Amino acid sequence: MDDSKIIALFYARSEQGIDELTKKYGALIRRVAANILNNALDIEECENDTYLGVWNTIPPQNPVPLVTYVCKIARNLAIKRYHSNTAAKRNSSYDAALDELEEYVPALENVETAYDEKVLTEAINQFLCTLSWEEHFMFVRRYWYGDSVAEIAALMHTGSHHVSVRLSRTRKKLQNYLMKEGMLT
Amino acid sequence: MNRELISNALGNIDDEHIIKAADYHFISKCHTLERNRKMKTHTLSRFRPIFKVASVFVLIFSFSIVAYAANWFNLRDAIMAQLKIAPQTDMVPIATEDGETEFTETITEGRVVDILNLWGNPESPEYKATQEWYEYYWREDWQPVPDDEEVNDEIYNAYGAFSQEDFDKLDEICAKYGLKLHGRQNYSDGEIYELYNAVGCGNVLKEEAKHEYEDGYWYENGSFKIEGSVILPENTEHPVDYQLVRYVKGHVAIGAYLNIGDGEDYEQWEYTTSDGTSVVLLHSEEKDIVIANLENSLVYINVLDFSDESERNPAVNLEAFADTFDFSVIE
Repeated sequence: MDDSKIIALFYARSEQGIDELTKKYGALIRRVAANILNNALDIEECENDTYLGVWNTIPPQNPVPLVTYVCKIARNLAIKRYHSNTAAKRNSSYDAALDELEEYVPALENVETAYDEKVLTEAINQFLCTLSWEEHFMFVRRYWYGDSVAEIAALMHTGSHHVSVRLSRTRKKLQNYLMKEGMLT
Repeated sequence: MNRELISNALGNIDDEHIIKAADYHFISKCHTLERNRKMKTHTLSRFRPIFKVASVFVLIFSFSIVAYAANWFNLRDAIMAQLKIAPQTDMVPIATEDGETEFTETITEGRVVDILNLWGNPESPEYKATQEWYEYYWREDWQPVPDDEEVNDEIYNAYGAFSQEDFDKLDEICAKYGLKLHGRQNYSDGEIYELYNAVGCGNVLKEEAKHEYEDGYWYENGSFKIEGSVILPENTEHPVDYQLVRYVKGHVAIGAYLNIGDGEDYEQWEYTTSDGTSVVLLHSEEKDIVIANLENSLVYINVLDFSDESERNPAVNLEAFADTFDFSVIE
């Protein structure tokens, strides 16, 4: 079903909207959640919370494209749950991804906490624009979608080692970019 | 703190980046199969009956042909399976006149595509091994290995094998057909001659052609992959992106198959390149492929983007493209 029709169902407060959303983006939502969370129950709850989140915000929201909106809600909910679980256990694919990035972005300088996220987000946005298609695809799949290296390799029909090496280089590029921007020394 | 900061900052990146990475057209741009099997359904089927008849016919004639002549390959013979692609929704970036990028939703209808076994000859052990691994790997009851159960072994992982069961299957295929695995992968650090030195071959990309080497890697057995682009002579300035892969015979090839859409849409012909190598050229609206069956290896070139403003015949373009490579330097 077309996204605009799904949104129309939400505007009409028809629960069919949730069914159609599940049908169209359920697998994607589960995947985004599963990449960040390890627990099946957490993933299921995150998926259901995502549908609730969409239900509660459309209307008044009329997001275009719907897919990004839904993914963002799912990711934010999963991250929130991840942080609350972090003290107990950290072993998801997303943990490994954050470990990798932390190595290259050890401590930001010249930014205040409240200001940090916005500045770093903007820097990452600019940095992503400098990457080739492949580098961009690998970086966002790994660090936004939380895909494992093996999953990215399978998507790109290449070896895990190849993806690891490319990602490692891209992280180094990010480090250099942030240094150039004066955010790292 | 830094960890949470990075996580939150990433969470707020622009939508365009998220959509771009969700864009499965990228994968078709790579001319690879959609392998995100957690989200897709698939079915396998054997050769179409008509193709089987054709293959017997061709085989009868192929025995009288000189080794490595181009008619070792028959497209219909080489289609080893079909894959059912589920309908999918993509967000496709489109550049507007004012330089901005807009995203439009496109729905690709589900369809059945033909899977080409690049080894061509169904009687060769390499062809059979590729087919057996493919059928095992794409079986109906396939389940992804949970991350915490993955078995790490670089050599096996390169085949997409992540469980002991997968490893055992690869070993079984090796034993059954008398083949070996590719071995460890090595990565070319931006210098193509490092790759050439490692595998012991000369420059495949002709010096006089306008090649741009982008990336490459090789395996212990001498198999390698090069990604690059070339600007065709007397043509447009539009570079043609490609992937060139060499598979050394006597080994279970990694991914020696391609989704070619509908095999009926293809023209196939033989061509002798300027270095004297007989190659098979395959052309359709959807894809162009060059295949060379050499003494010790199979080389194929997957043309990723042949669109240009040229009015030249696509066949002439493909032949001109093949001429920019020197196959004679590969055994």
